[in-house]
Amino acid sequence: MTQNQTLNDKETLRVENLSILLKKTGLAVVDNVSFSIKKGETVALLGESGAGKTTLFRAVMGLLASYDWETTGSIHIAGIKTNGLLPKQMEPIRGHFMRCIFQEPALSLNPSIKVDHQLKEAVRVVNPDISPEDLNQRILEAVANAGLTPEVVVGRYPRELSGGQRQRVGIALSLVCPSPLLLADEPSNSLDSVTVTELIKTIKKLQSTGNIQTFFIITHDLSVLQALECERVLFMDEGKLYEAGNIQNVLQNPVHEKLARIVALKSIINIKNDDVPERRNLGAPLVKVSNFNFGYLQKSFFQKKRNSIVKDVNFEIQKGEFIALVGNSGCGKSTIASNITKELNGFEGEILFDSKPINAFNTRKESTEFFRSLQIIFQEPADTFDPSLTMRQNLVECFSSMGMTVGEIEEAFNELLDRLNLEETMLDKLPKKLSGGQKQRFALLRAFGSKPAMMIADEPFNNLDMIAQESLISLLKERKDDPANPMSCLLISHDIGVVSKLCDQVLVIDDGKIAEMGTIDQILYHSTHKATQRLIEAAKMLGTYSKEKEGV
Amino acid sequence: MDEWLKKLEAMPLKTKLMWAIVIFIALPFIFLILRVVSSHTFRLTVTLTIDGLAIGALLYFVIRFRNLYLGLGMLLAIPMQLSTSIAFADFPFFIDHSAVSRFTSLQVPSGDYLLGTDYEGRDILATIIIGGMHAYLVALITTLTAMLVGIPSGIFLSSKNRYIQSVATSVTQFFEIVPQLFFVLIIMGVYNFWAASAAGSRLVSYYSVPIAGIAIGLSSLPSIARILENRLSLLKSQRFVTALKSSNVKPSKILLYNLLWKNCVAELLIQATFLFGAALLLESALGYAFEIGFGDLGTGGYLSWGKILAEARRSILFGENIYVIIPPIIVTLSSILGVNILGDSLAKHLRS
Repeated sequence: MTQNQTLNDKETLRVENLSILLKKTGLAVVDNVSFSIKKGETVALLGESGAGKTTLFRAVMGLLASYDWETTGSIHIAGIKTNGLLPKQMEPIRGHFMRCIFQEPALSLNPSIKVDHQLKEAVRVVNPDISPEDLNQRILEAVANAGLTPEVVVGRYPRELSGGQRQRVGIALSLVCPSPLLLADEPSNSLDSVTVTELIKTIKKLQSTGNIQTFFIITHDLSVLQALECERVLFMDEGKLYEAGNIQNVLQNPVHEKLARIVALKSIINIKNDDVPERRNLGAPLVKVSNFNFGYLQKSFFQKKRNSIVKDVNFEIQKGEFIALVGNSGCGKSTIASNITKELNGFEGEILFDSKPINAFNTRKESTEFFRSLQIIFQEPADTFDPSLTMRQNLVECFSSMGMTVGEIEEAFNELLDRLNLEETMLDKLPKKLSGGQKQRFALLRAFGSKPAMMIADEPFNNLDMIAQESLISLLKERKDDPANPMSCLLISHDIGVVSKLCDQVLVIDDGKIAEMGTIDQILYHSTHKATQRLIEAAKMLGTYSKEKEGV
Repeated sequence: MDEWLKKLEAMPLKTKLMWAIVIFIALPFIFLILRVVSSHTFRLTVTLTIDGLAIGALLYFVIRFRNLYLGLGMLLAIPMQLSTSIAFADFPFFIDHSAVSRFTSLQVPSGDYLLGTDYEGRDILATIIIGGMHAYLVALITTLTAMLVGIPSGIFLSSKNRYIQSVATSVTQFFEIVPQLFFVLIIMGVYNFWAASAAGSRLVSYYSVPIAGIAIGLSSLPSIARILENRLSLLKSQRFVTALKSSNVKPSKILLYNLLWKNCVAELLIQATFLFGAALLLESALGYAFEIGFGDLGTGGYLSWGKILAEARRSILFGENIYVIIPPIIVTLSSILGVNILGDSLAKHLRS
């Protein structure tokens, strides 16, 4: 099996009657799936979270531990049966024929090795005797393809990059070598819309130059598929696979009812909110940020320098108002939010919550009051829960520390479990047994449970499929319009389309400074800054934003 | 009773294994109560039956959950545990029987002396039992000391406060640099010197056992502290710590409950078990090699398996009277192997 063996015109990937059962529970996560992909096709796998897509990919890559999973059926890659192969035998196939971009690629980086070394390692696995100049060129190419500049990457550790930059490095890891079959598991999840469009352009370019021959992508985001112009869409629901035709077929007559629901939701989400509310002035604002400057300390022997990340930010949030922080990844949005929630400190300037500086909430009683009224939804759901406690224990611990009584906790569970499409049985599971989307929905439960007056949502729509996104949006709207206790929200997002539906004010942040600030109307129609215009262009390309009000 | 059994079944496997080991190790202490009863035969029979039943029950549960490896470990560690239980219950009887006496030296196993007597005239069975108790006590004190100093050191090593961290680093590095053997011997030497010089003036009580335990425990501080530091640093960098802080959970509670108790205790138990085995080994080895260093009886020393072997050196060198050395060899081997197997099987199951 040499690397130079080219694939003939047989199918690149053929799966026949594949069933994967979890040995512990006997549950068929993948149920009698059969399909085949020919050379040069671009195929998409759509489905809700928990439908079995990642498991299917893992089986194709040969990464399922036979200790936990029982596989029946067969998988053929380029005509070779890879089903029962030992790891040693799979190695030549994996590196040379297939590459995979995993979900949350940021987590696949080794935190103690510099980023460029990791990329070089990835190349050397496939081409062990490549010359150093070629090696350098390869990784610089891959980095550029993924949308990063070389200075960001060379000589840095993963912790020094922002979340989105890590995501792109993870993608670059898979683009370093030409691969006949490229698998991608939700690569666009945490990326901002500009990067997603660039990624799609890169993939199309690589397909045309022959670097990638066949592209198989999992996603729950129809806009990505539209931009990618997929020829074939497969839909997966609870382990079973359905052919859904090409992207036009999917949009016009979806073959499964869940698919129909997803398609319907897509158009609903993109309707622009025409009734722009007046900026309410109800007296003192809930949160007031003035002259805010922040930078990380660079500890050197002689002086403590701060490299400023966020400069000169000023804004206010009234009660019941939704403000969006929009911008490219790495521009400082999460940093601002982390300072408001007291995760980071050492900022210059002033942050007032309820007319009180946030550093003054020191006693136990005051801090209970502070955290009960200010809740956060984090960006990556992977490790937001204690891995040794069940979900119920996790949530009860958080809720009771915020001062909620047992009755209030019960009420929160009853109200929100159904809304967020979660089952009671999931409460007694450990976090590692749940899928990414389920964990994110539990994180939403934790944030909404205490009925906070202020919510900070850091890219909450990232790991959610369309149906869950719809429930989140309706929850946010309901809480916002609650007459007794209107909730304000600081929504951080890179997706200007979703933001336009929910938010009253938009702050566009570019490179740590506020580029533009104003209502939705002003930003979308009368924007002047080029950062804003870039974002709008990207949203248009992805189809998440359209100027006219669309009928369903 | 039924619902109690149901609750038992419902516990996750890892918790069941941890409890099985803890009960196995802590069981002998129950038999201390029997000291109030004065009859020797009563104490002996009660101890044997209860201990036998308890071990049988543990083995049954363990085998039922198909952990044969763990069962093997328990089986091999039985001599030590049984000796300890019997000795805790009936200490005066056995210590009397392990008295030195020229008249009864070198008797082959017979009705009177079940395993015979050794060169000094001690009843070998009695010495095995007392030796077992002392081995257990030293190892237990070692483990407890190591935990007592190691856990705070580990916590301080992972602290973000630079002053606390540097103090903890200095302490840990001290124990990493000074060789364990060296440290233990110095402490034991000093103690024995003092005990020997004071021996004439009064009967020095049994301080050798705790001091040996503390010495070995202190020198094992790095093994606990470093593992804890590693795990805590890893856990602290995870999102859920930030999430808990944002839910207003007290930082001390996060550290002690969420991080330490829920996430680190399994690893600490595994380390503790291995430490127990290592302490048994070290104690026997030092007792054999530095017979004086670990005390003569009367200067506060204590009877240990290593010491018995040391006194019976002639038997090893010349191959005579092997019934003298076979019992201590078998029980030492079996106990150390058994405890290490217990640690290994715990590691297999708890480290998912």
